[in-house]
Amino acid sequence: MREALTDEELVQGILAHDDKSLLYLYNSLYGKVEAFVLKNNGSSHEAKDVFQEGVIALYQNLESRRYQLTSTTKLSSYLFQICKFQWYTILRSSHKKAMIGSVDNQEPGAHDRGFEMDIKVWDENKFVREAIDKLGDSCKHLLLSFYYDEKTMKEIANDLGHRTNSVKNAKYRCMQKLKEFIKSRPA
Amino acid sequence: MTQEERIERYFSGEMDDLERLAFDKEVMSDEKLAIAVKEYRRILQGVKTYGLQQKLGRLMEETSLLQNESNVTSSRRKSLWIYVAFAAILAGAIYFLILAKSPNTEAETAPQLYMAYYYPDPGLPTRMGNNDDFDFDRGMVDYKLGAYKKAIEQWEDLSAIDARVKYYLGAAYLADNNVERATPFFEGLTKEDEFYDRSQWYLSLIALKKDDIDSSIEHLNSILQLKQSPYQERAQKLLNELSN
Repeated sequence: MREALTDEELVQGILAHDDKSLLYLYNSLYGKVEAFVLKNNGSSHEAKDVFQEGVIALYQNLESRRYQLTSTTKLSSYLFQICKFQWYTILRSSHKKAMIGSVDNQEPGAHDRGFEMDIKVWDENKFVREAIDKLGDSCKHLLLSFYYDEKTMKEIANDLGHRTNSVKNAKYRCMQKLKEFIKSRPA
Repeated sequence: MTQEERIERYFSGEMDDLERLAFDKEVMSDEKLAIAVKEYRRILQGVKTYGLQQKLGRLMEETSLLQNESNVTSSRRKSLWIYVAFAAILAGAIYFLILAKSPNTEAETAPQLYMAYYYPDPGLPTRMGNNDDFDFDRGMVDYKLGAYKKAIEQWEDLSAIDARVKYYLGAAYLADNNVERATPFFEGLTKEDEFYDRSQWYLSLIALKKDDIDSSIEHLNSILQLKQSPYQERAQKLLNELSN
């Protein structure tokens, strides 16, 4: 029943945060990522995080055109490489460091400078996401409505039953709060 | 216009070519503005990827729940099959009768269709008007924030449970993955009620989640039998998929 998506369709779908493309990636690749993490001293829970973060890194690389489709690298292979690299990064920085010697010796990206840069961008973005998560529910809702759902201030105000100006002020306060959180780690 | 408003116009594509060019030049010569633009880009990226993370997490959770349910159903089906086969050896005629009623080949695909079609109802605009509406709207704000349990608490305490409240209680329970509690609320709406078509839509999806294709088709047909409804197009589309 699952309709196969081409890499071009997937790229468009991921950039548009389309449910169908995200589910397709999950259904076709998550099992492989989970098997890899489990084989290399991780848990299912960690595999889920690695997969989620992998998709986010892929999204960023697609958006910044750091990754472009080629006839030789399939999108799923690229995403799997990102997930593997992330898992090695986690192992290296955690108490599981000692286990690195015992894992799969084909460590991806370790000698690939471009790949390390991708991870740096992803890491910086992760910090911003953690800062957003510290905001209250109303701030998160407001910022997501404006920047993620791309609603206008007027539409958000209508949804919430407030005046446009008070929503604008609330958004300004939320942004200031977020900037304060972020300041603790300059770019 | 504040600096932040200008940066927002820059990123949202509202500037025309001339304004954009001038802004680019200004960024190159004004270090403070360059830092503010960089910071805005980080936040914009952060919010977009945060939204993506939330959506992906929800989809993964739902899929994993459905797969678990499907595994349980499939193992139950296996046990049933052994029982049926054993009974069949004892009575050949009954065997054929039971075989004809065994699960059809589409059973595996129904939960996938549920996943493809199910999206939580986006909710209603909130106005915070008179007392009852105010309480309903407070629940609606929770609902729209994804705090479904809080919304349910708020709505179950309302003095009057009208069609709108029944429908949204159903929608909140369903979004909270509680199909059993969602069903009676949706079933409580009649053809005359404003939210009847939506209720039938979600009842058809609930039936799909339970692998009950016949019941799903029944609910879809009741939408198509209405004089008009914005849900008719999607009902027809799903019906076509179920007939394939």
